Amino acid sequence: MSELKPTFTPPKSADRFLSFFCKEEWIEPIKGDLFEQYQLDRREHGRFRSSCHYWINTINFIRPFALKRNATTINHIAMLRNILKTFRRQLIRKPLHHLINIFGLAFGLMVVFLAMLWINYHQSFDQFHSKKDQIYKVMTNRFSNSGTQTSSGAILEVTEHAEQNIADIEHVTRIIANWRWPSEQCFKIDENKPCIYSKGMFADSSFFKVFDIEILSGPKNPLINPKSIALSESVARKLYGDINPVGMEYLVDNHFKVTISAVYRDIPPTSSLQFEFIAPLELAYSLWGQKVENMKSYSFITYMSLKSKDHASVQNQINGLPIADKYENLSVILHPLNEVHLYNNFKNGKATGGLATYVQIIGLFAIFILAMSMANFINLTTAQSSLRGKEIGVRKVNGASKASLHFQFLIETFLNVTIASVLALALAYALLPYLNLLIGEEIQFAPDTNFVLKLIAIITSTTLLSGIYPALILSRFNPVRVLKNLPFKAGGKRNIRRWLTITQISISGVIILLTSVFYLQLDYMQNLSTGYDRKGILVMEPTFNHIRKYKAFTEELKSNPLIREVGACNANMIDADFITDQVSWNGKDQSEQVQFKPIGAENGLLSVFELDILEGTYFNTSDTSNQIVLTESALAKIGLKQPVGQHIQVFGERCRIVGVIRDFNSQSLHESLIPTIIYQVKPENTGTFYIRYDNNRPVESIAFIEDVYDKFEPFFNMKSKILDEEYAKLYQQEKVISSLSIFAMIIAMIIATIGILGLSTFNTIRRFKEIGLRKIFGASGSQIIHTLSKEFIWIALIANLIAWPLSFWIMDYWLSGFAYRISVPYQIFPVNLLLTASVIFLLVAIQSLRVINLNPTEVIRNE
Amino acid sequence: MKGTHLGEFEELVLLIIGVLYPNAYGLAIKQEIANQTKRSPAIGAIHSALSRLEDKGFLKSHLADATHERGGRRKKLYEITASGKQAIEYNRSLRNTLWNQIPELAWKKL
Repeated sequence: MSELKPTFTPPKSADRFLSFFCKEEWIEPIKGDLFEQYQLDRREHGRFRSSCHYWINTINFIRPFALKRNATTINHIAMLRNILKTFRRQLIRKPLHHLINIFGLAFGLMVVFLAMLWINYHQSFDQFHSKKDQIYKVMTNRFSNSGTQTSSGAILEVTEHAEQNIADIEHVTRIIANWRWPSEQCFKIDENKPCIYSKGMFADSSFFKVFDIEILSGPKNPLINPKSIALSESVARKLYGDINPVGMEYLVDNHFKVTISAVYRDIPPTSSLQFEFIAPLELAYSLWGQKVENMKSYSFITYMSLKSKDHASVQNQINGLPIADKYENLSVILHPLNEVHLYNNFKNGKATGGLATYVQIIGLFAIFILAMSMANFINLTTAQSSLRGKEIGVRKVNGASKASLHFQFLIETFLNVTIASVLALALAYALLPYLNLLIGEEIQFAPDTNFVLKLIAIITSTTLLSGIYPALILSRFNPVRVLKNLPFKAGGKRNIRRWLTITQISISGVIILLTSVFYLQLDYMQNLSTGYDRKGILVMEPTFNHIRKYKAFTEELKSNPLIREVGACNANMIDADFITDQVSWNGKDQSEQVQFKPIGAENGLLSVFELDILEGTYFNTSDTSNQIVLTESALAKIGLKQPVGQHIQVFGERCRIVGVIRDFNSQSLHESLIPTIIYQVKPENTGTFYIRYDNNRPVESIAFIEDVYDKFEPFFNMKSKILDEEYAKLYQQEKVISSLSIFAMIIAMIIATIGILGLSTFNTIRRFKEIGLRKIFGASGSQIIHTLSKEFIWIALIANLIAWPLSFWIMDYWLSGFAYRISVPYQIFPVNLLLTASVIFLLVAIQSLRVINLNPTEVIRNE
Repeated sequence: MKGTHLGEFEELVLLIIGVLYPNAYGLAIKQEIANQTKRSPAIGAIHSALSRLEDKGFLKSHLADATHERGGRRKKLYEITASGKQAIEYNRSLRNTLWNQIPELAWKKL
């Protein structure tokens, strides 16, 4: 052993690792033993194996006896008290600096909290049903040459066969809702009081087996008796006060006697099904005067609960049923209840988002804004760090380790974040009612455990993300230089701070650019010409009495010059949802499926909407044959040369084309337009009246219409809507996102301003001497402004170059969801650059003014 | 009560240190245990036990001179102290007493 043998060198990294965790006193013997073992290993094995063994042995020393203990006798409580005291003194000494810091964070956190509440609200839709994971909405895809349309119902016959023949289906419930009548009922029990309009539903008795609706009084399933009705708590209270109405009789539509079978708890706003009363389907059939047998091929809103989780297989089974062959261009899709609210847009037969896209965008905005405010915090804290040099120096001289300084600054950040969170919660709480008002939703400020957990997670991650870098910077000071008043490096790398500012400005740029696109698109859709003047049209819902005496009613109305035209049809003119391919004509390719939107109307309707006639005439009232009017695009589909006078088949009936009108919009612009045809129906077969009144005197006009209404129908009150308002409601989602993003934009701009202000203040103070010297050598004011702002102009430019492609990508993705969209408005990109650059320049210039007016001798003498 | 009890592995390490006198240090102890008992404890475990035994006062240590095969590092050499000896003796006498109390009959059936 005495002669020198060649030695092998063990892996250095493992040695370093050992030194990292191991106590000083143990390193020598342990390293020696490991080294010796390594020599032995190398004599028998290869290098790799020996090194692995060396590493394993090293790691094996992570045992309590060998671990470093920093300061075994630290009095943690005293330390914490000291940190708190220092923090308080900082607050008192530099209140403005801390206020800016805390408010910057608080704004960011407030946006996060509000976004969390909003997202949580929309994600909680339909989550209160115990079977939520088994329930599916049955929807129908309709194929044609022009693409696939998805509608939200399913044909009765198909779902009946499915229920009987497919074992995996537990319950099926069909619902009649959203029909103006009878889904909307005018409840009246006292002759002298006005009636109360309530929206409700008619459903199969299995409804209560599929959905969890809490019954307050009455049997568990109140829909078994076909002559019954269940009321919600609030409707029951409005009608009967404190008396329990269960068991009482009620006259539906003032003539159909039913029993009130139950009172249920009000449906929470987070339910996609909203109903203030519910009655058996049979009652709706009776009200309509229809027999069940006649309804087989009608489409109903349908929900299913499944026994198995495999809804794809059930869907295939339904589409494979023999009955499905009868409807060859249709196929059923099962849409999970959990997604009904969030994924409400369909493209090519598949759910593509809708609200879910907005949830993502808002979530992204919130994270962006929080990131901005964290960048702010880091910037301001590190920028001001030089002011704390002495404190840190003294701490270090007294034996504070880097780790304990890290701990101190992390605790300080934690305190800042906590104060900011409390402030943010208060701000969010105060702003929520206004936000609800702005977007028309009913978000509750109800922090549950989930919210508290998320809050803790946010506080922790914000503390760590915004605290670690300043802690590293602050603990790095060299105490000797600090205490001897020698120049020392403070504030970390200037580049990092520059990049943080660039991040901030690019994020705010993305938000500003997206907000302008949201706004422009919304504006485009709302102001896009519908092909007629939307202002001054009243949508009235007639009762049987009005329909029966339509002619008299119309004449009575028109006797007043305030009323221009009266018309009636069987569809919703702004969002007609009925589509058919049962239109055929001479020369039509029979293999082709062409879709049309048929609207059944009486002659007056065409005058109400002032639809421009291009060829032929409106309906001839004296002619009783089936007449039809085509829109331009419908004519283009059919392709007839001389349309007027020719015949086409609609629903198997021969109709004569009497006119061609200019295109108008009969649906929301999310989907591409389907050509509309208008066929003549008798007033008795219509469901909605449209009345054009003098828009200069709306109040008088509507009051007059009400009077005439009451004359023909004394029992009920008039239920009416303004067409233009209803039209705006079609774009409610876009309005919400537009409002929310404007809100986010304002906050982002505030935070960015704080950031720029903070950084430029710091830079200016740091360059006092330089500016003084420059002035001595004759620099003018504008030259100094130029020197100080040069850096920021670069920052603005780079930030914009980052923001442009990112926001272009998001806006293009969002716009692609619309059939009618604006093209990406390129001009907003340079506008944003100009905006940011000028705001920055302004802020920096204001800062510079302080320096320009300074006497150079004052700053230079100060040595 | 720290300092009175001697665990099985600790006792083994203590005995081996006696066997190796005066050259008992971490790796040598590990190798000796491997030779005598066919056990191969991790070197970390040996050091852990040594640290515990030293804390209990059963061992004392000093640093020897550096040697070439240790890469110029010094060995930490261990010796048993008087109380260490007492502890092994106590264990040994306890074992013997118990052994003697086992009746002959107990072995007969084996």
